[in-house]
Amino acid sequence: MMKIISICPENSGEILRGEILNRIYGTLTLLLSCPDEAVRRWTSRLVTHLILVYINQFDVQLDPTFELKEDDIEKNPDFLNEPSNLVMTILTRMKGFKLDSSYKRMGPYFHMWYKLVLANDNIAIWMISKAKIIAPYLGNFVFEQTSSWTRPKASTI
Amino acid sequence: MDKTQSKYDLSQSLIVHEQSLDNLLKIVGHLAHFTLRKDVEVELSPREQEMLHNPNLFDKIMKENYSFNKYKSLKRLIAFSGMNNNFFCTVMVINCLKNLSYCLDSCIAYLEVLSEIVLIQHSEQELMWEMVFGFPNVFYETDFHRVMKFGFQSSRSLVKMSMNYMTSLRFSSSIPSFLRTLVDASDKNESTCIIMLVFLLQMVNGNKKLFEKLVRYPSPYHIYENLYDWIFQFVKVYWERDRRDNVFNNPYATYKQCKMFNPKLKDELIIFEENIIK
Repeated sequence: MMKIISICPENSGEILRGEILNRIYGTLTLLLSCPDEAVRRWTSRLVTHLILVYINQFDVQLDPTFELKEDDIEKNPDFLNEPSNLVMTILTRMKGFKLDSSYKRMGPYFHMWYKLVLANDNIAIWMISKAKIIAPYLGNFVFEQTSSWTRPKASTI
Repeated sequence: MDKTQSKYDLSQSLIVHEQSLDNLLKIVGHLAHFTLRKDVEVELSPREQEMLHNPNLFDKIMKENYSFNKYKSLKRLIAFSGMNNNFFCTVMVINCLKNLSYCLDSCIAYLEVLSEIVLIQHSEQELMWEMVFGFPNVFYETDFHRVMKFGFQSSRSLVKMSMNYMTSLRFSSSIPSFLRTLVDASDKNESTCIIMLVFLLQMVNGNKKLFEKLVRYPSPYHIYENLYDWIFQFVKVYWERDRRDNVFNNPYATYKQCKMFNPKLKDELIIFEENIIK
C-alpha cells in the first residue's frame, strides 16, 4: 500500500482527507488500542508515509503557529482544500484526544510523531510551542498520573 | 535471529520492546535538543524543564530491561539534562554508583548513564571524574594481622587488596567509587566485572584527558604496578577459563549476556593498548 502511495503521490491528499481525517476516530482506535502490535505499527507507518508524501509532493509550507478553531471547517468549506490546513488539522486531531492511556502500548504512536518531527522542522516548532506535548506525555506516561488503559472517547477527538 | 535464541526468548524480547519507553524518549529527546539549535527560537516551558531534570524520570527508565546499546535516546536526554547542571549529574552519579555496588547482572543501564555523564564536557568535569572513579589511597582496615611499616599497613598476602579508590562524594560512606566496585565485582561476580570493564575502557578511550588520568592509577593489589596491568591480567585469566569451559561443550559456562560483550571488549582493549604504547 505504501508503495502504491509512492507511485501515485498525487492521490495522497484524497486518501488523507477521505480515509484519515473523515475516519479519524477509527484510525486512532487502530493506532492506539488494537491488541495486535503489528496492526498498530503498520497503521503508524502508513499515516506517517501518507503525510510525508503529501508534504513533499505539494511542497507544503506548514504554519507552526496553527491553531484549529471549532468553526473553521464549518464556516469555510474551502478550509481543508488548503494543503497546509489539511495537514495541520490532521495533526491537531491526532494529538487532541485526552492522553489518559498507559505508555506501554503507544510505541507506534510515538514513533509516528518522531518520524514527522524528524522530517519537518515546522512540525517540531508547532509541537513545542503550540501543541506542548512534552509535559503531558511525560506526565501521563512516565509518572503515570493515570495508568489505566482506556479507549479514546469519540467526544474527546 | 540468534540460533541459540528460543521462541520464548524472542517473544519475551518483543514484549520488552513493545513495553519500552524508547519511542517516547526518542521524540522527547529530539525536541529537547531541537530547542538548543541557534536557528530556531523556541523554548521549553518551566514545567517541561523541571520534568526533564527530574531524576525520578531517569530512575524509572533505567529500571527498564533493555539490552546493550539500546539506550541511545536515554543517553541523548542525559546529555541534554546534564549540560551545565552539576546538581543533576551528582544526583545521577549517586544513584548509579549505589545501584552498581550491588554487582547485579542488570547493571547495563547504570553503566550507560554513567559513561554518558563522565563524557559530558563542562567546567567541573575533573571533579565529576573524581566523584565517579575516586582517588587512590592506601587501603586501611582494622586487621591485626597487618603490620604497620613506615606508617602504612603492609599485608603479607599479595592477593589482598592494598589500594582503595575513595570517591569524593560526601553523601554517604556506603557508596563506593566505580573502580572500587569494579575490583569488588572481580571477586563477587566476574561477568558483571567484564561488563563494567567494557564500559570503563569505552569511557577511557573516549576522552584523552581521562585516559591520562587513569593510566597512572596504581593497581588494587601488590602484585601489579598499575591498574591497567591488573585489567589485562584479569581479562586474560577470564578468557582462558572461558575457553577451557567451552572445551567441555558447556555453552552456558559464563553468563550468556556477558558473551555479547566479548568482541566489544577485544576492540576496546586493542585501542587501550595502542594508547598506552603511544
